[in-house]
Amino acid sequence: MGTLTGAAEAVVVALASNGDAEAFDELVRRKQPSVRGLLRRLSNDRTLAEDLAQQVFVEMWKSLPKLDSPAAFPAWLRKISVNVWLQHFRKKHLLVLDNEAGELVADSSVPSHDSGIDLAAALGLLPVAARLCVVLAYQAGMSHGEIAAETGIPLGTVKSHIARGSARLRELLLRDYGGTS
Amino acid sequence: MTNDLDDTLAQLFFQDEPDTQSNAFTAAVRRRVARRRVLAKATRVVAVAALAAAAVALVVLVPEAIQYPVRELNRWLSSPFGAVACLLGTVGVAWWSRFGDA
Repeated sequence: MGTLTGAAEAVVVALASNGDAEAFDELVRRKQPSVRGLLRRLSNDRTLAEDLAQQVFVEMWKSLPKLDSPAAFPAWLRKISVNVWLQHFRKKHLLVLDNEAGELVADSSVPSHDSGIDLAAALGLLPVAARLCVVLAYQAGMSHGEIAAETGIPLGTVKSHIARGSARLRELLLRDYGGTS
Repeated sequence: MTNDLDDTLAQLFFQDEPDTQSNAFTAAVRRRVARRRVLAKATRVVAVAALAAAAVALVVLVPEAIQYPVRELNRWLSSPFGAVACLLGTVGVAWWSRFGDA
């Protein structure tokens, strides 16, 4: 266990941004569950999510000296995570984010079925942009406005993706979890 | 602006949180960062070596090139404009050394 295990996050961030390797490791240890969890939800592919999460922390290492305020670190890291994911999908030309009609490119690797599935599989059945909005809203706890600002998707489209995505998830999941409307 | 979220779904996201704590992951990130660091260092060394080689090649192959800036400075300082600039500079330094810290 490192000496920074109990240290305040602002202290660890400040040390890491000055090149302290132990502080950087501590940040990776603390933040990996949220980053990896977010990217697993977004990617619907465990191996890809691991690779992207590692890229996120490499980006963090590169950009940390430029971070102005340690208090802004969590939102800043989340932004890096979303950007790394967006860049990956844009590179593969899989992403059309601002389509109001919701006719978006779906992840073709996911089999289409609608019963007996868990949350990860149900998310995989959503179109990519809808999945992005739903995951950022539910998993990262971001507001519609924050999602629009971070992803560049118009606010109205974000709302519509979240409404449709949530409705679809409910259809797919609620019978498994025994929930009601 | 707040979200109008479905409570049941929010509960599912919370319950279904994947367990993602892993030492292997931390080690993998450390390796990637170390590779980047080595690569950045190697790039700097190669860039400095290339600049040094170019400078040596210039001196060896075109020796008159290194005399050019010296000749130009000499020409400029010998001109009336250079003389005026030197004079003003001397006055400026004298003023600063007398009143500059006041």
